[in-house]
Amino acid sequence: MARLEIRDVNKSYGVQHVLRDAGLQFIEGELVTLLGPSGCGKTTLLRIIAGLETADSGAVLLDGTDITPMPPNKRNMGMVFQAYSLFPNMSAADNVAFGLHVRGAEKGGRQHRVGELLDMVGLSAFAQKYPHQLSGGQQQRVALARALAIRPDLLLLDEPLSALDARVRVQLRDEIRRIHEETGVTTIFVTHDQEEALSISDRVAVMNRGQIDQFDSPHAIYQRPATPFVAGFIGVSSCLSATVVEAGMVRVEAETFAAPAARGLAAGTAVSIYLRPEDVRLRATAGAPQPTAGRRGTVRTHTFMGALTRVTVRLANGSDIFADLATPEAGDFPAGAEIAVDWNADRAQVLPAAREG
Amino acid sequence: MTDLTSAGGALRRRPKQRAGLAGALPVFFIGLFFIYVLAFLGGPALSILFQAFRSSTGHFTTQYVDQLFGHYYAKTYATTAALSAVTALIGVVAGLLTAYQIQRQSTPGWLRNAVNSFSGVAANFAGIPLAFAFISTLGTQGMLTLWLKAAGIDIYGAGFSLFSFWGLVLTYLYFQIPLMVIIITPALQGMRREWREAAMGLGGNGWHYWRHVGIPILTPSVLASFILLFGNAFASYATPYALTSGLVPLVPIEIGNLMSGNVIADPQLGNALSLGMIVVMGAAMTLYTLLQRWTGRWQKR
Repeated sequence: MARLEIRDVNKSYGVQHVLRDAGLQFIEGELVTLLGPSGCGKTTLLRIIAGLETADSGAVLLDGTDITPMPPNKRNMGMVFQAYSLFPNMSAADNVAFGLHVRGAEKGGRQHRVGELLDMVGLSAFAQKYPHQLSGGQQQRVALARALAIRPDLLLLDEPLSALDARVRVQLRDEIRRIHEETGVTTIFVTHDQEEALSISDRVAVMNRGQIDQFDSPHAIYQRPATPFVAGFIGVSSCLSATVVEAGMVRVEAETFAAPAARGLAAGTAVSIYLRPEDVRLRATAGAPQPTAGRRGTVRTHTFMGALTRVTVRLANGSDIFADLATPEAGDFPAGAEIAVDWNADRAQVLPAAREG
Repeated sequence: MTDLTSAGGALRRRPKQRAGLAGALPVFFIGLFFIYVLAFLGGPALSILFQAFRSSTGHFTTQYVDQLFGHYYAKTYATTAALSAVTALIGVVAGLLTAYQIQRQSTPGWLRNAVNSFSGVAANFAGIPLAFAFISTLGTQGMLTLWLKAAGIDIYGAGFSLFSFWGLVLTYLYFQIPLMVIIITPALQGMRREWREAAMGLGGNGWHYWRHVGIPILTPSVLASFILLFGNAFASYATPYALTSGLVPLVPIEIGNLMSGNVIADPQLGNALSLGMIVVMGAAMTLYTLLQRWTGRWQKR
C-alpha cells in the first residue's frame, strides 16, 4: 500500500492544455476513479503517474518522495491498459511471470507467484494459453494478474473494461473490486463510464477540461455535485434556471420555491436548480391543492426502463423535467396529460449559473 | 413458395439471384487466378522437370542434372546463393533499421512519407536502368569514382570493382533495402505501444523488451522478408547481366545463355539449371516454414 499525491500537474500538447493544476491526494489502500469525458485529461494524468508521460510542471509524490523524474521501470507500479497489452508471443503464465523474471526473481518463487495470481483471477486452467486463445475478459484478467505479480505500490487501470461487452464488463468490474479488497493495493481506475466509477470506487475524481471538478465519495458526487458539469455529467438531472430571492428561497419564472441548498447565496444570484428524476413526483391536477414546490406541466414521453419508467414533462416555460416512476404508476400519467410537478426541496442541488460551461 | 404470384415471385427471387451472383464472382476471379498460376507457373515448372531429364532424342537421361554437380555449375550456384544471401542479409538489417527509424513517433511526417515513397520506387528500380545508373556513378569512369580519385581515393586501385561480386552486392542493395522497408513496415506498425509500456512498467528496460517481446514478435516477419529478398536476388537477371556480362557466374545468366544460344545453345541443360533454381528456392521455403513454425508458434494457426 502506498500514499500518492499529485501536486499542481500541468501538461500541454502544443497549444492544447490537457491538464491544468491537477492536484489529488490518495489515501493508502483506496480505490480512486478518474472519471470524465473523452479528452478531459484522465488518461494523461494516469500516464504521468506511471511515468509514461512527463508533466510540464507539478509533482508526483509517492509516500512523500518526489518520483516525478523517475523512469517508469523504477516506480513499481502495475498497469493494465485498455486492451491488447498482453505480450502475444507469451503464454498467460509467461505474461504474468514477465515482471518477476526481469526483476531477477528465482524460478521457484516465480512459478509459485504466477500460480497464485492466475488462481486469484480464476484462470489457472488457462496458464499455457496464448493471448489469442483467450477471450477479451480473460485477457484483461491475465493483464491484471501480470500487473499484480510484482506486488506494486500502486495499481493503475486505464479503462480496462472499455473493450469488453456489457456482461463481461460488469463481471470483471466486480472482480476488480474483490481483488482490490483482497490485495489492499492503492488503485487508480480511469473510466468515462459513470456507472462503473460509482459502483467500484471509494472515491471519484471527476475531471473536466484538464481540471479536477470534484473529488469525493460516489454518494457525495451523485447527491451533491459541486459544479454544473458534475451535475450534468453524473446521472440524469433536470435543470431549471432560477434566481435567489432570499436565504433558502429561489424564484423560477414567477413562482418562489424553498431551496435549502441556496442558503449561502446572496439574493439576486442567478442559479441553476438540478433535480434528480427519482426526486421528482407527479400528481394529477384535477381537484388537488396547489403544491408547495411545484409547477404545472404536460406529459411528453415515456421511456420504459424495466421496473422504472422515465416520464418527461414539459413545463409551462418550455423546460423539460424528468421523473422516474415505478412502471405501473407511470401509466397514470399518459402522454398529453396535464399534471402537477413536485420535488423534494431538500435534495434539489442549487449551483451558481455563472460557473456553468 | 409455389403459390407465389408472378410479381411476388419475381420480387422474392431477386435476393437469391443476387446471392448467386455474389457467390459466383469470387469463384470466377479466384478461378482466373488459378488458371493464370497453372499456365505460367505450374505448367512451365512441370515442363522444366520433364525437359531436365530428357535428352535431345527424347529419352530419359540424368546427364544434364549430373552436370549441375560439376565444378563450374556448383560454383555458379554457390556464387548466386552467396550473392543472394549477402544482399538479403544486409537488406534485411539495413531495411529493418531504416523502417524502424521512420516509424518512430519522433520522425517528422514529411521524412516518413519521403522514405516510403522513395522505397516504393527504388524497390522496383532494377535491370538496365539501375546498371547504367551505377556504371555512371561508380564505374571506372563514373562520376563518384572520378571525384574520389580527385580527392586522392582511388577505389579501383584499392581493389574495388563495380563489375565484381561486391560491386553486384552494392548494386543489388539499391533495391533490396527499399524492398525490405516496404515489406517490414506493416509488421513494425503492428507493434503496439502498450507492449513496450507494459514491459517498462513491470520493471523491464529497452533490452528486456526487445529480447523477450520485440524480437520474438518480429522474427517470423523478418524471416519471411529474408526469404523474399533472397529469392528476389537469386532470380535477378538483367541487372547482373548488364553490369558484368557474365564475368561473375550466376545461374540466371547461365540459363539465359544456354536458352538463347549465346555462346552455346543447350536448352536441356538450361532446364536442368532452372530445376536447380526451383530446388534451391524450395529448400529455402522449407527452411523458412520450419523456422517460422518454431519462431511463430504463438501465432494463430
